[in-house]
Formats: sequence, C-alpha cells, structure tokens
Amino acid sequence: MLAQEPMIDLRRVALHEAAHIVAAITQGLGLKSARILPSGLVLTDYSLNLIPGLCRDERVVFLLAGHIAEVVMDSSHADIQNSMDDFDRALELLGGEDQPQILDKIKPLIDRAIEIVLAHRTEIEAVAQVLLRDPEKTLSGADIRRALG
Amino acid sequence: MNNTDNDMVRLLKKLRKRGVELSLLRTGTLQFTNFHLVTKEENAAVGRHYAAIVAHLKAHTPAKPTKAKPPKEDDEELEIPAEWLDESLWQASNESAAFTSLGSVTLRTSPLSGIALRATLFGIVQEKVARRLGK
Repeated sequence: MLAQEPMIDLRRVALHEAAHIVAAITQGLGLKSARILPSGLVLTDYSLNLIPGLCRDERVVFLLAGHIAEVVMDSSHADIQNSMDDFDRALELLGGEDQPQILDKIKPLIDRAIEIVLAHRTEIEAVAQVLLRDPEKTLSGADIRRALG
Repeated sequence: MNNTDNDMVRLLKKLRKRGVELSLLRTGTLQFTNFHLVTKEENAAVGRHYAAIVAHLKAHTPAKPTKAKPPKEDDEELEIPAEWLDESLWQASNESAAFTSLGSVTLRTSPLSGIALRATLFGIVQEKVARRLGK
C-alpha cells in the first residue's frame, strides 16, 4: 500500500495560530496578518519586530502560546513537530548558551503564556473559527477584528 | 530635505542625545545600542521611518571591505526574518531595494536548537500545563 500524505489537522493548526494572535494582542504586540495554509503564520506589528531585544519577553510568550494552546485545548492532537520552530525562535530570543540560565528565564514566560491561553480560551476558539472559514486566505488584523464583530 | 526626512533626523538626534545609537546590520535589520532607552512610541516611529533611516545609515556608514565566507557545512537553515517574506510588508516598507542591496542573510546554526534543550522545554511545558490544570 502506498503511504498516504498525512492530512493536516486544520483545527489544531487554527487553534495554534489563534493562540499566537491572542497572545500578540493581549501583550500589545499588535497583529499584522495571519493564515493557516499552506503553513501557519502570524505576523505581529512590523515596527515592533525591527528592533532585536525590544519586547523580548512578550515575543517569547507570543511564540510559546501556540503550542500551549494545543496542549491545553486539544492535547490528544498536540503536534511537537509543528512547534519546533517556535521553540527554537523563543530560545534564540533569550540568547546565550548557558542552558540552565535559559531555562530559568523561560519558565516564568511559560507560566505567563499558560495564563493567557487559559484566560482566553473562548477568544482563541472564536479566532480559530474565523481562520477556518477560509484556511487559505491571509487575513489582516482588521479582517479578524471585523469577523469577530 | 522633505518633512519625512526632517522627522527622521529629529528622531535620530533625540535618540542619540540619550545615548541610543542605531546601526544597520548586514542582515538588513536595524539595531539599537541601549535599546532599553527607547519607548514603544519611538520604536514605532523608527518603524514608520524605516526606509529613510536605512538609506541615511547606508549613506553615512563607510563601507568596510568584507570577505565572503563560504557557508559552513553544518548550517541548518537560512535565517530570514519571517516578516520579510510577507509581500505586503515589502510594499509597505517601500524599501525592497535596501533589503536586496544589503545582500547576504545570515547563515548559521543555532547552538540553542539542540534536541536535548527542545525536549527539556517541551517537557517543562507539558508538566506546567498539567499542574495548572490539576491533572
């Protein structure tokens, strides 16, 4: 039997990206655009992304929120592979090569991301539904706000 | 000098007075020295004037002769800020020429992307979520 292409779990991807969106908005990073296909991508406010180091903790929380939402809201389908890039980028943002020190820095940020996801489960679900309406469309922040009414 | 340039120069002078210096990285990214002295509003203003600031820095930074380094064999990925891949941003910044003329993007392997560290991190997340949910 020929191996079949694994089907993309769109709901999981949508929840993941929706959590990034909610984390970006709640932390003042702004939202530029979001999509779930061909691969999940959420862009925050362009100007805040220009300066390395600025809003570092907020950006780490933003990166962690996607995977955490998968674990919290749909743990049976949480996909580690999907979150590798996010975790790598979070670790890079924290910098340095001293692993114990990085873990010390990231632990409170994991807690913060968990609290954001838990406090905004309804919003994350609603944003995921908006993304799922047209999975191949890149939505602007304004599109998503409008769709949420 | 038009109004945008005037605003940009005023912004740079204001930042410099406080010890903040802007430099242009080879990746095409602006970098602050003493970035903690920059407010969110100022950072947003830098974003608005990004194209003008890049042009200004390029014009005022003496070119250094650089040797092209061959890519390392263990390079894992081409590191390009995700934002740059967004077409609308390129249009908004109106500065695609600056990005391309700056040339090389960084090719490197992150020492932090080790499997062990990632696995540890995933484990911590699982544990913290489970504890928080009382599982």
